[in-house]
Amino acid sequence: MSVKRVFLLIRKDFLRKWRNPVVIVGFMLMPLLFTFIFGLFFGKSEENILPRISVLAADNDKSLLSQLFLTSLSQGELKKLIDLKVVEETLGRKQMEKGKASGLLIIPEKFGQNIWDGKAMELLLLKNPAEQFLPQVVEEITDTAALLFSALSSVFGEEVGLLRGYMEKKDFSDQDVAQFSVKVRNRMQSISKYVFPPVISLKQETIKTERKTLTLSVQDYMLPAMAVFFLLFVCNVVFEDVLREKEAGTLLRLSISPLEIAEFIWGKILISMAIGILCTLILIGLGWMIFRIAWGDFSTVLLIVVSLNILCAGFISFFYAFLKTERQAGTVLSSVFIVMALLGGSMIPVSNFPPVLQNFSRLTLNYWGIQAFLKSIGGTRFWEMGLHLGGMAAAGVVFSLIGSSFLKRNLQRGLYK
Amino acid sequence: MGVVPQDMAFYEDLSARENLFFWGKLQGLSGKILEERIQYYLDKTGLRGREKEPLKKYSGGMKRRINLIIGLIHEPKLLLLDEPTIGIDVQTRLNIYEVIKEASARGTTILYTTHNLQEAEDLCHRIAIMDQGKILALGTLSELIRIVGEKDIALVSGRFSADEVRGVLGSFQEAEILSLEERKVMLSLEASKSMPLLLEEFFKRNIHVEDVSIKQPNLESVFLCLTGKELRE
Repeated sequence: MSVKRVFLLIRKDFLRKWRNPVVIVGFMLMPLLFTFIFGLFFGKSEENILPRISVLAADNDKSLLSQLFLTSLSQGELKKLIDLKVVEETLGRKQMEKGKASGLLIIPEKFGQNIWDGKAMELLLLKNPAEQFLPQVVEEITDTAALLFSALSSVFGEEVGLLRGYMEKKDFSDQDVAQFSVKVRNRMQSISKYVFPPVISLKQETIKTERKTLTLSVQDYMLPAMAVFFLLFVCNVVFEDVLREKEAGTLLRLSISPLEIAEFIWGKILISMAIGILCTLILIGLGWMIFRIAWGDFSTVLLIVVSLNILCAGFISFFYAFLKTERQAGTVLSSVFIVMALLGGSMIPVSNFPPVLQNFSRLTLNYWGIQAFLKSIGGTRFWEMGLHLGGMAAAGVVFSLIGSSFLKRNLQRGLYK
Repeated sequence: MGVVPQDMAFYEDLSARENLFFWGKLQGLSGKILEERIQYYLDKTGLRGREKEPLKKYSGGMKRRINLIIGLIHEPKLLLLDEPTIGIDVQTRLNIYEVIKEASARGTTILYTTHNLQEAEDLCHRIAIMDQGKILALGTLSELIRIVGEKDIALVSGRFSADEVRGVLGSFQEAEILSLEERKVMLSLEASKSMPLLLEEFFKRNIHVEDVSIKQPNLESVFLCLTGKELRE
């Protein structure tokens, strides 16, 4: 085998792809586009994780306490979460039928009266069935507010009675106010040993490790995942020249020259590897510039890219050993790539799979490629994942050897027909 | 060995120069020799000035010329040409003939495949007639013509059917049918001896003859004599 001739082939194929870069550039832009779109949906910002929940409230009581209750739902932090609108009950029900809110809270008549009397009562919450979890959030918040009001009414029952008397009379002296204040103070003192400080407290502590904690943004995951997926398509576009040259007659002409078929095949494997490496490095650079992805140590990233592309080129050459036409190759390999992307984590993170399926993920090229990039993003250096990278490269070499020997046989067999 | 396939076997997205450089290098040429050959053949085929354009922009005739140069650039001892002049204009055809004759004069053995018998007569020193994958005859043009014998080719046309002609010639041993269709028959015979007798036979049977032309046998008559008139797949 002549290395000189192999490099001559690589130079020729590189020039050809350079002249017609549209398909490769298209496949290269896809991961960026996907990452951008996913980033828009599940952005990096921790704010606005949830949309503001639209809640309608129908106050059939219109008392001081019912208004206080509603106000409690739209104060402080809750105000960021809940968009509360007070409406008439009939209008609220119509709005709910049209699906215009996540929930309608109906405060019954005599709500305030019942609180003064310490009687049990029911708040009615109508939930929007078309929404999954936003109505649940409304339910939880309303429930908590109701519980708080119930607790206050039980603990301060006597004081509430006093306050009610003052309010009904609409005439109270400074002495009444002083008496009420003393009672509240005494009540607070008697419950303070239970409430301040709380009996049970939650101690928060963050464990410090030497390694940076792996907190990934959507972009940190999506770009490597999509890059591995589309890298297969890039390598395929380059490698499918094997069949194209056979169909166009250039392979026949090459075979009459001093070139050996094995040289031709290795030329294709190496050029698909080289173009794959170049595309991946460009993608990594663009990912850093556009999405600020910190890929990790450069030498580690470079080794990942090289070993991943050895694996990709070898894997594809293996398949081409059994494919006879360009059309056949397009159909079979696209299906293989999509199944591998689904199983290997290019579309859904593997950690979301059931355990059985996670085992199958390990059989895909995507899984190993994505995991290598994620490890690098997480701060792992190449010597800590030598087995991982070595394994990928070794698998690629084995695939290439098997693929090239079968492909050589098949090409020689069909060449002069 | 060099080969010029019937289909254009080169890289259309590369320029003429890049293609010639690649194929020349692959054949072991390099440096000054390769550059000189590229220049020479580009000049010879009138492609100088267009050598930097990608071949996909070339016309059919220009592509045929490049296809030929690729097979010739390393000046092989044996050159296989498979219908190199198919679908091209007269000027390009003449240019290709010139390049081929020049290679032949330089000592290259050329195996030229063609359906155009006139081309074979004009270019080839030895001709093989192949049918259904088998060589039926091989020799120089005069050797092949001798297969038909010293006979002449007579083309008779008139108002007659194929069956009427078969009826006449069934009993007339001196002439052999080379081709037969309605109103026209091509025969192999010794014209000076047999033609008057044959015409007499036609008149006896009231078969109306309009025109008779006699010519010396050529490759086409040899080909038809050897392979018959039936259509091939």
